[in-house]
Amino acid sequence: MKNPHTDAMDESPEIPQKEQVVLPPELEKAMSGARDRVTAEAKRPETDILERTAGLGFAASMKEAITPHTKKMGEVAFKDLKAMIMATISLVPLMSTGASVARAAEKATRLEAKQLQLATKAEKVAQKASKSGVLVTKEIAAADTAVWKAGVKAREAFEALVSKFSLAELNQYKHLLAKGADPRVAARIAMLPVERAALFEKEISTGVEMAKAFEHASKGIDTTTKWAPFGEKLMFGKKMEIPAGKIKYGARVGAEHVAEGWLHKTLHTLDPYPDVPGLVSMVGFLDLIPGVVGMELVPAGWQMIANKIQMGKEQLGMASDVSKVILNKLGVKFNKLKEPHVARAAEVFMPQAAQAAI
Amino acid sequence: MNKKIALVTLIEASILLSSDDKLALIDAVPGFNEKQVMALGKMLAEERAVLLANEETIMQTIKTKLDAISAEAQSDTVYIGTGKSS
Repeated sequence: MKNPHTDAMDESPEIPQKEQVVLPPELEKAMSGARDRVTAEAKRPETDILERTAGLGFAASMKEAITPHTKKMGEVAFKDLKAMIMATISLVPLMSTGASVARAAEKATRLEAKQLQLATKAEKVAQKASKSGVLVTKEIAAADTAVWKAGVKAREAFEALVSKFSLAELNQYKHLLAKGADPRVAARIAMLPVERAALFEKEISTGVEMAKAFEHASKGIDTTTKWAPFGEKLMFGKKMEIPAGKIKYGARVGAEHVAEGWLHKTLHTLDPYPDVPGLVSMVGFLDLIPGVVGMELVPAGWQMIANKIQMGKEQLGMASDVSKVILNKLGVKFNKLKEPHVARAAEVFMPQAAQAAI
Repeated sequence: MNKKIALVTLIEASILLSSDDKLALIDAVPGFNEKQVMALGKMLAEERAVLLANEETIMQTIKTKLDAISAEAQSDTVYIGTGKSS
């Protein structure tokens, strides 16, 4: 290769050119058409509203509908439950396993970062609310900022610890909680809101390692009885009665956000719409907890959803019922699934008989 | 029908996938090997079958929940952080 500056032959190796992949014309046409249609569809305000707002109810509904079928999905050639669930709900993270889909993985990382950003904003709103006395009691207005910061650090350490649970284990725990079985296993989750506050107090004050505190706190803990009412209060933003003098306010606030942070980090992979804030994503998980009924949200999540509903109205340029728009849009999507060419495509991978058996 | 074309069709028709996910996956299809095509295709075909089998339940559940959200959004109650102000 000639060096353009000296005109002498450059001995540095030539940069290998990427292999040009020639796509079969039919595939290229199919991809191009699909890409154009998806892009055009995405620009429609109804689609944006559907994907950003309806994801909440859809996530919970899909979990309700899909749970009985997870065994059948074992037929799919995935290595473990985590990959299967992630593939069921959000395929982009799954694609990070292949070198050819690095871009999809990068996109998933950006979506995750964005969701963490939204969850962090919600946490800041809660922090401000704690100073106004809305969070729990009037005393919380005097929350110790230093203790709060320590709680945030503790959360990060806690998440690192809890990350050792595989998604398969976590889903197993939820299943067991729903059945009210296996206190030892359920304790690992049940202890989070109640005992975590005491753990943080201990950690902050004595510097005990999180792992040891976790093991200590997980022994002999009564699970669902403690979890259900506390979880309801924690997640639904109701007033919580703090045992006088036993738990530092800051530590308790930190404990709340550890539980929220952990659940958010775990559950966002089960959320088909990563843009939905992590606090809102917890709804599907909460549905499985005994004693926790209905689709109430942590009000910080309500605020976001309410804002989005309002944005939806503004985007549509009318005061019409956004819910109807979303439902109509979903109806159109269901009809698309029934189109003959889609049915033929599905049959390539799953015989009609197998589809009918579902 | 060619498997990769069938896969692109199912990706486009998927309800669970967001628009961003669909575009990323469509672009990735040419690079998939046979195993990946079959795994993803089965996944999406299963999604379609499950959704159609439970369409009525899903739509009714979503309607109920959206109505609750809309009603809340229209109320005069203001939510601050994790508490309701009365």
